Amino acid sequence: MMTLALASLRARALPVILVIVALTASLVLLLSIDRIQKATENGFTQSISGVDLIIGPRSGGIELVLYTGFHLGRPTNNITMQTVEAVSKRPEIDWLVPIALGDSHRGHRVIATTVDYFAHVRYAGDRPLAFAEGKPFADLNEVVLGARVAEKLGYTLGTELYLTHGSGQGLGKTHDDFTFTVTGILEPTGTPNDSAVFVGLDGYELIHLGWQSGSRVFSLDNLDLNQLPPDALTPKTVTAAYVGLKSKLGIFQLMRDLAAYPEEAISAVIPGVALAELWSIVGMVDRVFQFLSGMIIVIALIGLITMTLTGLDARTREMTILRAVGATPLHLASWVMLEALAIGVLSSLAALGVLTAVTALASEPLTEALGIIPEIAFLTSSEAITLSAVIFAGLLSSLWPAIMVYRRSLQQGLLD
Amino acid sequence: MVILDIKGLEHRYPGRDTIAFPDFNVSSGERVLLVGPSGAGKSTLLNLITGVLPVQTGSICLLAQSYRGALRKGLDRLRADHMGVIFQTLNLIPYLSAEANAGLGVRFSKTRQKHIVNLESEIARLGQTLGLSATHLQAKAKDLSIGQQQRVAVIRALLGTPELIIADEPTSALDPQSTDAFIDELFTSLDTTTQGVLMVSHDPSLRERFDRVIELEATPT
Repeated sequence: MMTLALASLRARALPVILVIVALTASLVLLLSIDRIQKATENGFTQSISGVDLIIGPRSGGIELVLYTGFHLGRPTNNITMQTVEAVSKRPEIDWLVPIALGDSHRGHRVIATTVDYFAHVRYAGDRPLAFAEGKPFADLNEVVLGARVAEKLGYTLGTELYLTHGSGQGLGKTHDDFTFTVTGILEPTGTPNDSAVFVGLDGYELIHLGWQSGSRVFSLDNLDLNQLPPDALTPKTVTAAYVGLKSKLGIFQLMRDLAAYPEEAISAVIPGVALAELWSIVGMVDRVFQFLSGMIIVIALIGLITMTLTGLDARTREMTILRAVGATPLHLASWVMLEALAIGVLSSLAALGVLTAVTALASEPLTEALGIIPEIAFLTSSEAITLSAVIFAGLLSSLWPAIMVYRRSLQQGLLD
Repeated sequence: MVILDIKGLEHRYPGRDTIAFPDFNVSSGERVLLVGPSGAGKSTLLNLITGVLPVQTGSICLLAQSYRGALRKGLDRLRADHMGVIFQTLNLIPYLSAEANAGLGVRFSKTRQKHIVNLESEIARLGQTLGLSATHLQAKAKDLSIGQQQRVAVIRALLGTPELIIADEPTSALDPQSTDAFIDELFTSLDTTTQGVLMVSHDPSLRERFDRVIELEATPT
């Protein structure tokens, strides 16, 4: 019966292809929204691991996580180093890594930090940042590159570069009075670290010595570094600090204490909680899209029913011939259902193919925009369930015409 | 051997007069022609014999199996295993090849499949008898002439040697010369030791080609 069903579908190629296209398009829409959302969510949640708290100026938790962890947006305020040092001395704290943001290099965010960053910040669960080449910065003029920066700009160990004051490509002014040399390149991680340029806090402080209110006041060219006072390169403020705790039991008490820190308005956020908050907002939009995609699938299925019903009259003769050679009404009903099954399976296979291409194409813009490399499987279990459900719905929707065929074949004579 | 036996058969459609059919039978090798004016109940009789319409009064026995009390599925099986049906026109599924259309004759019957060693060569053999070449058999049904299509329908009906061949005015779309050739080819292809033919036709010239003619009378409605 399947051979007959396929031959019948081939004979009605145009309407069948149109129904398959409609069903495929709606499936692609439904699954790609879900796939990209999940891949992005995974990419985000895997980007910052091992960090229990992010401490920054008092602001929204999502905002703090987005600009520190994902380089999205810009900090509105800084926190003083005095506060950071005071917090680091609390007994609950295992480690604390300050980070200062603001500069860039050819569109890539500069993270000024300490070498502890490479020791404590992890990704994708518990994977440490590893060096593909070289070593962490040790001197004022040394810089470490994320894998993507090195690859994109063609930099290798020993390459000399300037940093740009401010974020964004082509904006701001170049710190061309101080050259940094690449001493290390990180292994690819699929996180925003790949698109970052890392320098030491002291080096970062140095290139800003001659700057006031975003403008250069004097150049470092004529400056003798040996003449600088001992604390001249200790930053006065930083953007935020990543914190690891000895035990997570006291995390909420610590957050409350920091929120009430009397010396400065600071806040502490748990990255995972802030991201969950972000996804609950994104999830609402996602659900609206999914609902609309679901409606499109329903419309495509109605198209399938319509095509089958409108074709029934034209196929009366085929059915009479099959009845004459011994096909039962059940055979004829199953013929109609097999056609729907074939359409459902073909649409699902086509949708998987298109989906793979769509997600591969979406991967690059996601990496560009968010710095994450989404991990995309060919077919997840939830996608398999969705596709099976649509195939089943197609079969169900063919029940009506199948019943009509069944009843008609019982009522209609072979010879008239 | 009696293949088909009909006794006291009557049929009544709701709101219409009862159609009464004469008693008759068809034996192996016998060629029976069924004639009668429009409205005499020829199609009704064929639909009753093929088991599509239920028997209300009287009896039909095919190979000694009574239709009375038989389930619809059982009648479908009887039709698949023991009958070959040729329609007046539009005998074939247009998008299938002639060979695939012919092969439909045994698709639903294991009994008929058992009579065939090699389906393709059997179709080719019958095709040769009926004047259809390999090219004709590979062609799509819609690309064949009416006469060629009727010959493919004959192959389908004969394949697997069903005991009863039912033909409903199969020559009505053919010219007299083609009609003669068609009837010749049909009778030549029959296995006269096991198969019988029951044909409906309006063509009086065919009477002499048959062993027996059964006349149905017009029934007032």
